[in-house]
Amino acid sequence: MPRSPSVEAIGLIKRYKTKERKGLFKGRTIVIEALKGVSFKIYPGEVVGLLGPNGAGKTTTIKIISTLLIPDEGEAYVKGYDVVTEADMVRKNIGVMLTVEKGFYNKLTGRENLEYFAALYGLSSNIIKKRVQEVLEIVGLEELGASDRLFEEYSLGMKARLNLARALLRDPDVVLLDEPTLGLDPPSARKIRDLVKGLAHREGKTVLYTTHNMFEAEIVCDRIILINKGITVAEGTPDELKDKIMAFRTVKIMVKGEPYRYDKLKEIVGIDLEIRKENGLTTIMFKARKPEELIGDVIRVLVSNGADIVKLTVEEPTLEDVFVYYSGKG
Amino acid sequence: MGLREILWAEWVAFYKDLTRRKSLIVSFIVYPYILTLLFIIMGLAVGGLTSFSQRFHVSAITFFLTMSYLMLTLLIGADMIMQRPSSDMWAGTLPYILASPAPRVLRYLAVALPMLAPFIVQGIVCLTPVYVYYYGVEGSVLALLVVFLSVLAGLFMVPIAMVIMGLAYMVSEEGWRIINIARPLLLILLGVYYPRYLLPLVFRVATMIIPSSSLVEIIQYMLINNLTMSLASVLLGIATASFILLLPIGSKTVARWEEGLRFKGVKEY
Repeated sequence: MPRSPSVEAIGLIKRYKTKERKGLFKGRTIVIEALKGVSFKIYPGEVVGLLGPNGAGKTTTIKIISTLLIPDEGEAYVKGYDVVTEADMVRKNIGVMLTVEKGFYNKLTGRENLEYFAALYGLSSNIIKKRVQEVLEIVGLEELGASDRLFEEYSLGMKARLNLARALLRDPDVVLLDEPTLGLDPPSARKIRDLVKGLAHREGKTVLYTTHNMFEAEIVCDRIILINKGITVAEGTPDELKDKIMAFRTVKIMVKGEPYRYDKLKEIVGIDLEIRKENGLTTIMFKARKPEELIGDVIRVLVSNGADIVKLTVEEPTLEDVFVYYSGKG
Repeated sequence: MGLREILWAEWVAFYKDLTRRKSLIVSFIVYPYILTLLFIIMGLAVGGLTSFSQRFHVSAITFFLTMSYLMLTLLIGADMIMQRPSSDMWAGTLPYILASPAPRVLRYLAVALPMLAPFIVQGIVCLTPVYVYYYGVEGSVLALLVVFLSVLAGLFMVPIAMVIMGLAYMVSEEGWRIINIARPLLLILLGVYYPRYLLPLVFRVATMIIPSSSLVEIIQYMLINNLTMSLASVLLGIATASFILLLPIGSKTVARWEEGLRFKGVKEY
């Protein structure tokens, strides 16, 4: 039986109207097309990264799914509920984190802020305190001794954790996170990433995660949807995406001394052969789409000419290569 | 989800915030006296305390102290609602509030109620000694009645505040500018600056659409000792009816404003 998606977007189109002012009364309306037909499906237990450069439409997409924005065309569903016509049902099934640094009342403590939103989100009064304590422990604010400190005294990392805690208050099946590690220091960013992975892989929640941090997307996301200028340009696991662009892999062979027969090596790998000499070691570098077909021959030539191989590495293309490739293409 | 949870949330949020801003507590106590002083000084410039008493059959101090207190009570509940979108935009909480399934009428009632509660204490502290001085021991009962009616008038401002807030923010993202114009206009229509029974009948009837205006009138009749049971019942009935009538209109206006935001996108500052 096919799995039904937790989140589904079909041909989302969103246009923003903005005014270009000319003098006191004159002006003309400019239409900016933020989304031009974004479609995707996200299944339970997946962390899906929505990747794209600034202005690609990531936040607009997340806002549509979280019922905060109505698309001009297209449809979106969360657990089968339409985000436009069944917004209340969608809201009961999602947790949202839109910004890291804001979204709470300064003069309330982290705990008081969460209790406020818990009540607003419909948790009954007899479970609010218990649930707030649970989420404070999950995100590690209790461990930091920050639960009862005023929000205005929080560091950015603490604010991010509190934002994530709010998204988890209702124990939602679907969690929507818009750049949750933006501006965070490495330990805080790592904590958030670990929490997000845990949510999907241990608790089976569906997570939609926007970022333009390639490293983060690669280690957090099971699947990635690349959008650029409002359209979906690629979709797949990080490895699938790398394969899709047929990127070159870089082979580096480090040998002691001076290897011989460069002409023979060039015959095998082509003109891309690059030689670097440093501290008595020679590094032979070449790029190939399928290096496994060439490495054997190269090593045979080197060994038969008395070279002593010290190290051999094959560098895979990074997600950044994929991102740059599709950003340019889009 | 009921009123209880939302009320509790707003209650805790308001009181924690209030107790962490000591200047607010001081302002609660001194505001009615400051406003009374302002009105008396203005009154003295054009006439005198005696001429006011002779004309309106009530001491100027009693009248303006009561009206100052009433004005604060009327404004505070309404202002909490009308200014809320702005403060939520600045705090960045607006998207999370819009994304909550909380029923809007209950929420805005819950926003106003915690603000009104300290006005019970403020009213008793400010009005009782002055009333006892002018009306004798019976003045304490009168003070309690005025406090009750003033707080009720504050609560009855909720639907009209929802309508004004919804319309103002529909017209402009900086709706607070429109609200700054609407606020003094609202006070004129309510009749807190002057005895309402002096208004021409047509204006008096027209302004009765604002639920609290009838309660203002009851209080003013009480001060001049000219309130009959039947008049009180009629005015209270009008106030309640217009409150009930305006609630769904307020709810719809807020819903339209939120719908508009969902088309345009919520601004975050």
